[in-house]
Amino acid sequence: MSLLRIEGVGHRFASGTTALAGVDLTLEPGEFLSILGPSGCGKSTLLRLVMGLDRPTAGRIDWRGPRPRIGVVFQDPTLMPWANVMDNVALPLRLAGRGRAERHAAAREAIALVGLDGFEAAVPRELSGGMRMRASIARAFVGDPQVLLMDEPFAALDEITRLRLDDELRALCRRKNLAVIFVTHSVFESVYLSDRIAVMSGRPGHVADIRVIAREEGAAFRASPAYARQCAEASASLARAMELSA
Amino acid sequence: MTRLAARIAPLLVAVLVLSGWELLVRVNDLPPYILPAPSAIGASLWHDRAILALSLYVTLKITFAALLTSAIAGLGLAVLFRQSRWIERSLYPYAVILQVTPIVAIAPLILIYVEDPFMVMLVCATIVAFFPVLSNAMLGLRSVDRGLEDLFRLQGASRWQVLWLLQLPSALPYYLGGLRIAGGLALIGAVVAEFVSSTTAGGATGLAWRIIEAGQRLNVPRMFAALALIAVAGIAIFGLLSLASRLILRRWHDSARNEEQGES
Repeated sequence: MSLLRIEGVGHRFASGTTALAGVDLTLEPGEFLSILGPSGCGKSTLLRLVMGLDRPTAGRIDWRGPRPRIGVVFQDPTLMPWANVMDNVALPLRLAGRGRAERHAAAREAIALVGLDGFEAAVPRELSGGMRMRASIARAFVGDPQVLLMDEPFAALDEITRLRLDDELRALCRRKNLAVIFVTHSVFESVYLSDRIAVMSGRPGHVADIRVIAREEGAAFRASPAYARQCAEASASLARAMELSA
Repeated sequence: MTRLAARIAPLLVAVLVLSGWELLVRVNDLPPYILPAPSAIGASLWHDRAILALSLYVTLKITFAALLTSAIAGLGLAVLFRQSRWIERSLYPYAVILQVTPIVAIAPLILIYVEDPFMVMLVCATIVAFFPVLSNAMLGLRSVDRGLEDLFRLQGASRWQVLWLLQLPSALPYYLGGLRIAGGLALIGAVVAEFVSSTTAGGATGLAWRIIEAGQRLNVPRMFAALALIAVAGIAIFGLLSLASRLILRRWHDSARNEEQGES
């Protein structure tokens, strides 16, 4: 049974622009789902609806059972510049009213998980872009989430850092058996990371194609013919979707 | 330009201007009640040091009391305004009115209704100093990163948590900027209040009253001496507040990134 059902969801901004229309999508337990689409196709809007930051103006978004614990990562690291890594990562626990000792223990664990050990006392300005994003990911993991929602988290990073973070993210999510929705505009990233890709197209935003990725774990997948073939297919699917909406 | 030269340049200007001034007075043999030479002003500073120091103390007491009052009231009101748009809409126009009405026009009224002379000065100086703190704090409380705001909302943060953990830290650089302006204004407010309310109850009187008093006695060197003290006090307050701001923000805010870019 699906963890999340998105049925006939539409969203119209107060300005009158229709961002989404008739979006149907599911998220299965333990699944890594990418939402792939060009800028402005409404994929970030869809993610905001799933987060609960905005309400859909049509359709429904239902979680199976009670709303799960959700970790979020935005495109920017969105760290508090005045707080060090420890306090930034521990923020969700602080907001949940947990005690200091518990907060720090959990934060330390999450910091180790993303390989930022030793930087607990650094403030964001003292970190590189990749390290800031690691801190942001650690913050998403600190509340022991069941679902991870990520909005183009690595878009602003350099290619080398991005590839490494992709590897680590995929491994981490497998290990924790997390269900993930990952918004991206990169075909390669989506094929590498995902079990399934929802290809979106715009005006108004809708899901144009859903592709199941036949994949293997590990960085070797990136060099395999299967990966190259599926990238080409996803690329073609995206091109078709954009043509139809243009 | 090297750092040393940058520091020496303004000092050099001071030396040049002061020597020119001294020369002008000596060559033309000007009497001190027309224009006292810098040396005469210096002598007055030294000779009248007991009186002047006491007056400086009085003026500074009012200045700092007004700055503290403004700091607390400005932040308090800004926080209140942030909590409710209705409160802001209802009260903010009056804060603006208070700001745009010249203090010299309000002071005589305050003199009528407030008895204690210290309180008169405090009220006047606070009215002058308070507004930049309020408006900067308001700006700061609104300058919260949108992503962080979303994050707090997603985590179910309470109003208090949003204020304490997000809005107040975000507002800090703006607030400190407001205080820096308010420091100078508090001094101006204190001096203007003294001028207007020069009734002066009690023995202790501020620098502004010294200037009036010395003027009436044609003791022009002492007028200049008191004026110099006010200027130095103003510079010191600004420097102190700038330093405090830089130390507080040093670690995380761009405005305090390094010394060279410190002030402007």
